[in-house]
Amino acid sequence: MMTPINRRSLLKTGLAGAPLISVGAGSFPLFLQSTANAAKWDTKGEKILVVIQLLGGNDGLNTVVPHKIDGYSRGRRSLRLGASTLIKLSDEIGLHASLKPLEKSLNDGRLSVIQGVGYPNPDRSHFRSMDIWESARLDPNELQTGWLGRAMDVSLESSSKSRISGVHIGSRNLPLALRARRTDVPSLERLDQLQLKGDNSLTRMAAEVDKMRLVETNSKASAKPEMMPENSDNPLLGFVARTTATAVASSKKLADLDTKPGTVKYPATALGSRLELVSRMIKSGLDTRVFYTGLDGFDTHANQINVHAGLLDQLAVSLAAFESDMSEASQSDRVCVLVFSEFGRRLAENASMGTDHGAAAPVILTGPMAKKGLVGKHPSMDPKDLNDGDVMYHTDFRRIYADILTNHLGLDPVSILGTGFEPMGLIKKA
Amino acid sequence: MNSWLDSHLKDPRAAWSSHEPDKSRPWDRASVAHLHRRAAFGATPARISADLKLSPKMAVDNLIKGSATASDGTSAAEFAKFFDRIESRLGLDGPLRRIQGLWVQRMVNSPRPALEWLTLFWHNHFATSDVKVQNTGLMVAQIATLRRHAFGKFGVMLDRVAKNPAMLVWLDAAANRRTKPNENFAREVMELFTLGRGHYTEKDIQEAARAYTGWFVVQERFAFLEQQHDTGTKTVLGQTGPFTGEQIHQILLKQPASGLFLAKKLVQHYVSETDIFPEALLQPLADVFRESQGSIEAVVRTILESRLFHDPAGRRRRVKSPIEFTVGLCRMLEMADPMPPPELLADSASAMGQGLYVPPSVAGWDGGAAWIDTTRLVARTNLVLAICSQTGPLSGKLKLEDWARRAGSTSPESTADALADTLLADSVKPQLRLELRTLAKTTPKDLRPVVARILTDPSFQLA
Repeated sequence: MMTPINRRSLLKTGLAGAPLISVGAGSFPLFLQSTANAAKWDTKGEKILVVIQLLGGNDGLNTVVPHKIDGYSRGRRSLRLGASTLIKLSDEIGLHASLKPLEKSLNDGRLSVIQGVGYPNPDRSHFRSMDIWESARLDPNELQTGWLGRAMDVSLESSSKSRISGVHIGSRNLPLALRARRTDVPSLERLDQLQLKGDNSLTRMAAEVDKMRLVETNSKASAKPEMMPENSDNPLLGFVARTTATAVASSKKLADLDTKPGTVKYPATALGSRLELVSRMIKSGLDTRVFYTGLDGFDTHANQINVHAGLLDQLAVSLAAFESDMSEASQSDRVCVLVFSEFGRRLAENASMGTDHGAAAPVILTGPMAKKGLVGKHPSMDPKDLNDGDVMYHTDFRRIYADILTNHLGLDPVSILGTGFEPMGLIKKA
Repeated sequence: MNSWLDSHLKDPRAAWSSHEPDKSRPWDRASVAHLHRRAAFGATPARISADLKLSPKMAVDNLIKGSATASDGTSAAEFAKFFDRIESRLGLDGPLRRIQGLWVQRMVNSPRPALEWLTLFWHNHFATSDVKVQNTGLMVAQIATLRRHAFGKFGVMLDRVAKNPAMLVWLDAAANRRTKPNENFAREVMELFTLGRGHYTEKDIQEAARAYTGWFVVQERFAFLEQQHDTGTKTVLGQTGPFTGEQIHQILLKQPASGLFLAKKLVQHYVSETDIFPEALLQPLADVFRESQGSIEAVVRTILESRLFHDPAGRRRRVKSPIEFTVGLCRMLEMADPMPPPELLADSASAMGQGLYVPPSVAGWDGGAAWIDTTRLVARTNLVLAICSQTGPLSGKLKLEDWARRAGSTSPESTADALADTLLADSVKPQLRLELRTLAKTTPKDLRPVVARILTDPSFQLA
């Protein structure tokens, strides 16, 4: 079904330098197929998921603050946040003051906070816990694909009505969450990273080489496009060849992206720029449906209070800008944003005015919500209910994924997550 | 996918025994190129010809010892002194790009590329980032420590690194008080430096953390503050006593898991990051580690001289890291002196995902397939295009006529062949060779297109 890539098809797109560089081999990546398949795949109404991963383990207890619940003040002698500074969610619980920019989404019924989210036998290693969240698998031997990668794979099956393609926006490696078997997911931080740059001397030589090739191709009717065997004896080589093809083709596609800035001002922060890029890609009509991005720095072992406030401020200002941008572009009903972290932090603060790796934490969703505001009870902070000093989870994170997959992306969650994860009815049905 | 390892798994001791070339596995240019690609940053045609006359064992020995002089004629000792001096002159808050560029320059010109290659491995093993340390002087000092002990005894290296100011700042352990031992530090020592996950308990971490109390960084230097040290008894991995941090290291290194853990990491560096090495296959290396009292050089030599390492089926099982890619193309194309501006090369490597002195986390760079994604490949392509351009700050250092003359080629097509044999070795498929010769014929006076095509080929991204 996919169009094979060859040099000629790339040359037709006028890619500078193409005759001089390897264009890899394989198939056109899924997310580039919008034009080719525009008639077949009407993407206008399709739902979009944006994931913001808070890297390092966000302190859930100082994000969604249980200020009136017994145990909080005891555990957080120097880091505790007073009720007067918080944005009220209930009599006992409030949001960190830095999240004030999200108050509009909250009041509009577009924001929910799911409390006490985690998984059995919490792991306090960043890497292991990220693997668990991103693969949605507890077995360390099942890390070949991520939950969204599998969603893309499932959507490629012939019975599926719509395809799901994704892109990673950020500077870290392609997150495991996006690793799929049947498609390659591109990764970028800024658009100019995909621009191929060679000087005029190379462009001239490229033209010369191209002219020669045309002559040769015409003289030899049998000339074949450059293709590398997919089932080469070295899968690593096939992988690099496919990714090279994706890179070269993505470069062409995204270089042409409409770059007109919108009226909404994004903050000049890492996350602000990333969400602005997501918005531009959505508004340009690209058929990408999963945008995965993140914000780093949440591993606050020491002197946490200001650092954490700054990070939450960056999150809230960026996300609020994105929300109003989507609203202005009449895309709000299509877009759901998931905000999560690999774990929360210990209830008891440490001696360095920071917090150490913990377990359960809240998850934030914005979008066309069916359940608004606080969802679920705050986990008990009674010493007898703590697990090795951490609050216990009561909601498996895979139930939130199940909700997103079923109600938002229109996929059967069982094939992606396995059985036993009941969707929570958080998001309005697509 | 692991089929090439299966035959070695049948007899793990034989797999790591010395490789003796024979008719079916000859010591040819591709084998020499493979050794240099994996143990250093690749070889020039002249070096390949020279090593072809030696036994594999001698070639490994030469590579580990390094050349007596650098390319410009200075002695190896003078060369090292020169770089150490410039680095230390930069002081405690020299610009990051400057130290990144200096290390790239050192790697490109070093008479001991295998030492830089292993130092880079340790930088990834004991990953520490200037983003948090915020002190380039401490970062440079840490790499100097890693370089000094790179081939030495691992136990000595561990003691030095654990007391390294940059490391202690990085792991929030610059003030390890008796009343509040730092578990994070003890955890990373076990999880990332010595044993790996699953070989210790949370309790072991909590107890070991007490042994490190009293360890401080005072005025950029390590200091042991006796009154802050917890002198009580600790029980770690089944042993009980009033342990100090150094004694904890001894306990960790006596664990069978530590030899296996290091063997695995070194095999990932020298052989393959994508194949899974079963414990049985790593055990002989762990034995070498134990029998040599933790000699890193003994393990590295065993790997590089082994039948498994020289198995042609094991070639191109590693993705070149961005630094490996960047430094390698400079060395193989003999763009050492003068070289493209090293700071710009370091910037390029950062764009490809590997900023020296700024690994992304305590676990270092993910490596392997994670080096390859769309933007990272575009960044690789753009470095190649910039080096092959006639204008721009990275251009003009590629002297292909000189290179061809030194390689002894006589025509544009034979230069295209020599470039392919040097840069791609046995991964050149007949179809690509044909394409390269056609390119050489099209622009016979200027072979930059041949170089661009080779360096962007998927197989050049692999080692």
